[in-house]
Amino acid sequence: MPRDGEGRRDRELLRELAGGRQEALAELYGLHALSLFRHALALARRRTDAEDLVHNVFVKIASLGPDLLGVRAPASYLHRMLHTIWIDGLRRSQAADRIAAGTSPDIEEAPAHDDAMDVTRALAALPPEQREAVVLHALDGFSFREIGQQTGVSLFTAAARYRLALAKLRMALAPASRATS
Amino acid sequence: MNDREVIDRLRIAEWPMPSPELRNRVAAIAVRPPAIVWTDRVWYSRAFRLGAAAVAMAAITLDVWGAQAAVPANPRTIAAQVETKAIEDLVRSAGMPDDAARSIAGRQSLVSRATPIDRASLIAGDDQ
Repeated sequence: MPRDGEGRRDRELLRELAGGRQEALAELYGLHALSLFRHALALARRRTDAEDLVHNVFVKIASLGPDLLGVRAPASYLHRMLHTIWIDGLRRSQAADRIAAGTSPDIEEAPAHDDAMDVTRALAALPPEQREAVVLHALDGFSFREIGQQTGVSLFTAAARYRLALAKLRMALAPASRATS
Repeated sequence: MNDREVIDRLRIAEWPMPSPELRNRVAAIAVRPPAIVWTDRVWYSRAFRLGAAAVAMAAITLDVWGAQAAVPANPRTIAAQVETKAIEDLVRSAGMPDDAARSIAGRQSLVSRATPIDRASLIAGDDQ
């Protein structure tokens, strides 16, 4: 979840990155890798695609130079970049067809227990933009306004996607909940 | 099941972690060498922006004060100079020497700028 202190450190790292300090990239990765990877997994579902997405975000960041000095909300900036790269990738490779086919999504992998398996499976069944809204809001703590900025939609659309996703998850998990109780 | 329970279950779910290879791949990315020109540093500096705003405010303030303090040019003075020069030229063209022309023009100008009382005394003095 983004915090003020982290935001300050992020901005410092971006400044250092703009100044060419190689170590700043690794440190920035350490701060945001998990959140970005979850976001990428919510969009791409396959581990390899998600890792490529995250990698491409950092390739882009490393090439920006002085443009990084103007970034005010680094965490949001990184997620927005990830979303944009994913959209560009979709347009280029028509990966949408492959995602629609739903071949062995890694978003379901290695659950710790039955509940987790249920929830990740239910999440995997959602459309990408709804999964994205759930991951960014419920897990990473971004506001709907920030999610709207990151994904190029209004905050109302972001909130609607989240609400719809949560309703679907509630329905999907309800029978499992009754069975386990 | 309510929203809170769904969110709690999402949070306790064990999410796949990025692989160590990804960290290595990211660490191997070459960062663009610094090409930050001084104008970038200045432009993105908060101190510069605040300073520029302060200078602009100061300039506007000084401009307002300056406009209030400035003495406007007296159109009467300018008109009198033009009149004096015209009389001097006229007198000189009538064949009078330069110093006499200057004297007559100056005197005429003094009469035209004087108050009615001064003008009466000047004319009277002229007659004497």
